[in-house]
Amino acid sequence: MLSRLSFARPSGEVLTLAALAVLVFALSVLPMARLLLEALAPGGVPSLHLLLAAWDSPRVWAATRNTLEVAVFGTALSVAVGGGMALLVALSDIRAKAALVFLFMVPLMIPPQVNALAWLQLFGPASVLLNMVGIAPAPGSRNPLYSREGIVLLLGIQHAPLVFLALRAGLRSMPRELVEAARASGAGRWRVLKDVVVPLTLPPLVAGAALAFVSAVGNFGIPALLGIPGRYLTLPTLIYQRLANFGPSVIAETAALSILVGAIAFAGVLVQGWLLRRRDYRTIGAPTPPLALSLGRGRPWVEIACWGVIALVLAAPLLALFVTALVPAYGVKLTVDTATFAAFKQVLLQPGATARAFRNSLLLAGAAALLLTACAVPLAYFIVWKRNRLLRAMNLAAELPYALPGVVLAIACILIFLKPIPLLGLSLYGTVWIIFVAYLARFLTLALRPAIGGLAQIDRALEEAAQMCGAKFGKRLLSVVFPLVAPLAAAGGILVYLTAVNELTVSALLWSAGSETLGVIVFALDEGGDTVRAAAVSVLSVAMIFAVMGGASLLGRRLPPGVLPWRA
Amino acid sequence: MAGLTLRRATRRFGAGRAAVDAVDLEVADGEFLAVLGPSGCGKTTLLRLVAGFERLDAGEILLGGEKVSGPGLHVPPEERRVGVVFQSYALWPHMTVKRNVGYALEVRGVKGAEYARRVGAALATVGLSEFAERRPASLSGGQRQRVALARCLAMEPRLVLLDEPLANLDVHLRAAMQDEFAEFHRATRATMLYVTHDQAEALALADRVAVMDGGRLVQLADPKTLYREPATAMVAGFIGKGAVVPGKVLEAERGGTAPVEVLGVRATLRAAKRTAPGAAHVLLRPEDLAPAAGGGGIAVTVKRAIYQGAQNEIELVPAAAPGEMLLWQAPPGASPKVGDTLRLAVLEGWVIPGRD
Repeated sequence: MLSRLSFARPSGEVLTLAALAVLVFALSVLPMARLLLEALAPGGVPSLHLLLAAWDSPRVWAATRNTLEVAVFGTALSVAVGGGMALLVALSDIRAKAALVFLFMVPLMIPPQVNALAWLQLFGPASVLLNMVGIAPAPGSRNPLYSREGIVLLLGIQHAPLVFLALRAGLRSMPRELVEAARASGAGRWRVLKDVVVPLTLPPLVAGAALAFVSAVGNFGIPALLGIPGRYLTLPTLIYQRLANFGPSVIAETAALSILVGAIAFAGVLVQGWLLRRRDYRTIGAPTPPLALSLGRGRPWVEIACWGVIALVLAAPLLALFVTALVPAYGVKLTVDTATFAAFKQVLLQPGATARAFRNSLLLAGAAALLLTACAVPLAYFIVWKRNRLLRAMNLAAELPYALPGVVLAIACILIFLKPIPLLGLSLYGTVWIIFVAYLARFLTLALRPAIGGLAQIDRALEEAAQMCGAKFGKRLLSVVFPLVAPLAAAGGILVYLTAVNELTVSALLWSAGSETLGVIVFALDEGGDTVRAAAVSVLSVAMIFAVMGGASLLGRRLPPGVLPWRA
Repeated sequence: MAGLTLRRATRRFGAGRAAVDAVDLEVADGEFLAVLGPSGCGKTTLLRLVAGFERLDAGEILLGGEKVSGPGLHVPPEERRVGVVFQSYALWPHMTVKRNVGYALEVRGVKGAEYARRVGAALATVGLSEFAERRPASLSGGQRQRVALARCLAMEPRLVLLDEPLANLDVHLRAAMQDEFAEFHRATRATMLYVTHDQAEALALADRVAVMDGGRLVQLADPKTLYREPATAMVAGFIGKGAVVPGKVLEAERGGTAPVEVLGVRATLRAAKRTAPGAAHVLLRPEDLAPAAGGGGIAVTVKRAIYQGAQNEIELVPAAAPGEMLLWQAPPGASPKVGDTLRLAVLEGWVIPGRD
C-alpha cells in the first residue's frame, strides 16, 4: 500500500506522515523495546538471569500476591457498583440521569491520591470531620483504611466508572427491538434482564472489567497512600520504594519488576479474550433511543439508594477533605473560631515546591494537551482515511503506553534518558522534560481516540471535494479536516489535560527537585505528615477538575454522546 | 472543456475480480454520457479513477489528450481540474454557501472583485444568489444539489462527474433536478459523466449510455439503440421491460432481420449484422406482443395481472415452456384475468447477439 503514496516528489502529505510515524514509534515502541532489552538481554547478551534473580525474593512474591489480591477484589467491586449503575441508568426510568452520571463519573476524574487522601480523612482518630461530629475513634487506634480491604474499597470505587462507561455504551448500542421482542414474548422485567440484556452485553461488561483490572494492577496513588503506611506493598509501590531508596543503581531490577507488572496486566486482557471466545454477540438492527423500563413504586427507593451511593463515595470523602484543609494544624478541632484558609494561602502563594508543582503541572498538562491534539488530528486522518498496515501498527502502538501500567512507561523512560541522548548530547533525566516526554507517550491515545471517532463519522467526500477544488494536503487539513473534527479533538485535549494535570504514577518515578508535579506534592506532603496542606492542594485540584468538567460539558453540548465520559 | 479517453482502464481491490476491468471509453468534448449499471458493477470506481481518487492498476486515462493516469503516472486529483458532484453533495458544513462555491478560487489565490464576480455568476446560474451567506444545513436537498453544481461550475473544470446525484432526493424533486441537469449541460456545454443505477434517468438525460456489469463495459450506445438492440441479456433485462426467452435462429441475418423460432412459433425478428443460425436468446418486449387471430401464436396462461393505472401489466406463462415468462400490457378494461388462457402473436423482437 505504500506504493500508493507518490515517492517521486515528497509531498506535504508524505512528509507529515513520516514525521508522525517517527513520533509515534519514538514515543510508543522505542521505550517498550528498550525496557525489554534491559530485562531480557542485559548488557546486550540475551539472558533470563536478571528476570529470575529479581523475581527470586519473598518481598517480590508478597507484592505480586498483594497486587493480584487487590486487583481481583477491587475489580469485582467495580463490576458490582459500576455495572449496577449502568443497568439502572440505561434501562430504567429513574430521574435526573444526567446529574447522576456526572457525579458518578467524578471519582474517575479525581486522581487516586486525592481520593485516597479524602477517604483517609473520613476514618481514623485524627479525622477532622469525625472529631467535629464527635464520633472519632479513640486516639492511637489505627485508620482501618491502612489495609488490604481499604485498598480494595478505594480501587473498586475509583474504577467503577470504567465498568459503567463500557457497559452503558454496550447497552446504548443494543437494538431496542431485542428487548421489546422479549417483552412481547411475555418475559417480565427480570427475565428480560437475565435472558436478553445481560447475555448480550457481556462483551462490554467483560471489557470494562478488564480495563478496571489493568488500571487496578497499575494503580500507584491508592496503594501508596494506604499501603505504604500499612506495610502492604503492591508491585508499583515496591518499585517506587526500591527506586526511591537506592536510585538508578537498581534500574535493571526495577525493569524486571515492571515487566512482571506488565505481564499481570496483559494476563487480564488475555482472560477477557478467553471469556468471550467462540460466541456470537453480534446484534442486528439500528441502536435506538434508550429504554426506560418502569421501576414502578420502587422508583423513589432506587433513587434514594443511588443518591446514597453518591453521597457515600463522593460527597462524604470530599467534605472530609475540605474540612481537613480548613484546620490550622492536623489534630486541631475545627470550629468557627479555628477555621482558616491559611493552608490554601500557603500552598498557592508561598514560593517553594508547592507553587512550583502548580506551575509545572499546569504547563505540562496544557502543553501536552495542545501538542497531542495538534498531532492527533493528522494522525487520525491517516489512520481513518488511508488505511494500511503501517498505520494500523501505529494506531496499536499509540495505545501501548496508556494500556500498560504507568510504572512500566516510567521505568522505560528512565532507561532511555538516564544517559544523555546520543548525538544531541541532551540530558533529560532529572529535568521536567523527561516527565513531558512520558506524558506525551502516555496520553497520546487519549487525544487520538476522539479524533479517530470524529473522522470516522465524517463523509470522506468532504475531503475529496476539497481535493477536486485543487487544495493541497496542508490546505485541506487546515480548511476542511481541522474545523470538522474540532469539537471532538478539543474533547480529547480536555481529557489529556484533566488526566495529565493530576498525574502521579509516572511523575512519582521521574520527578526531581524543581520538577515536582501536583500529584507528587500531594503524595510528598502526606508522606511527610503535612496532611492539612496536602488536603488544601487536593481541594484545589478537585475544584479545578469540577470547573473543567463543567465548562467542557457546557461548551460540548453539540458533541455526540460518549465523547465526554461524564455526560449522559 | 475537454474530452475523456479511457484505454484498457483496470482497477483491482485485493485479489478478487477487478472492480473496473479493461474498460475502453471515449467521451467527446461537450458530450453528456451516462454510466449505468447495477450496484457493485464498478461504475463509481470508474468515476473515481477519472477524478484521480483511485489509482489505475493497468491501462491509461487521458483528459483533453493529456495523459493523467497510466503506468508510473498519477496526476493527483487536486491537479486535474475535474469537477465532481458527490452523491452526498459533500458541502462543507462549516462554510457558507458562498465560500463553498468559491473554495477552488480561494485555493488558486483568486481574490477581490474577480472572486466575487465568478462566485456570483456561478450562484446565479443555479439560481441561488440570495442564499450566498447561508449555511448548507439550512438548505433543502435540491438547493444543496445546486450548490454542489455551482461549486463545480466556479472551478471551471475540464470535465464534470456526477455520482448518483439524485439518489438522495425524493421522487418529485428528481424530475425537477433532471431538468436542471439538462439545462446546466445546455448552458455550459460541459463534458459530463453521469453515474447512475436508474435506467430511466440515464435514458432521459444522456447523449450516450455506457452500461457496465461486473467491472466490464457491456454496451455503449445512444438510448434508442440500447432499448431496441441490447447487446446482452443483462442489458436487455436492465433497460426497459420485457422477457428474454430461448429461441433458434433459422437462417443467417439479411437486411437487419432473421427468421427465428421462439416458443413454438416462427417470427421474423430484428437481428444484428452477421447473426448466424443456431440457438440464441430473444428479447420480447410487451409492445412486441399482440392477441393472435385464429389458432396461431403462442398459447399462454395468465399468472398475474398487476394494475398500473393506464394499463395492466400481465405476466404470462407459455404452455410450451412453463419455466419461461412473458410480459404483456393490456388496457384495464380489456385485461384478462388470472388463469385465463390466450394466444399471442409475436410482431417484433430482437435477437440478442452477445452471451453474458
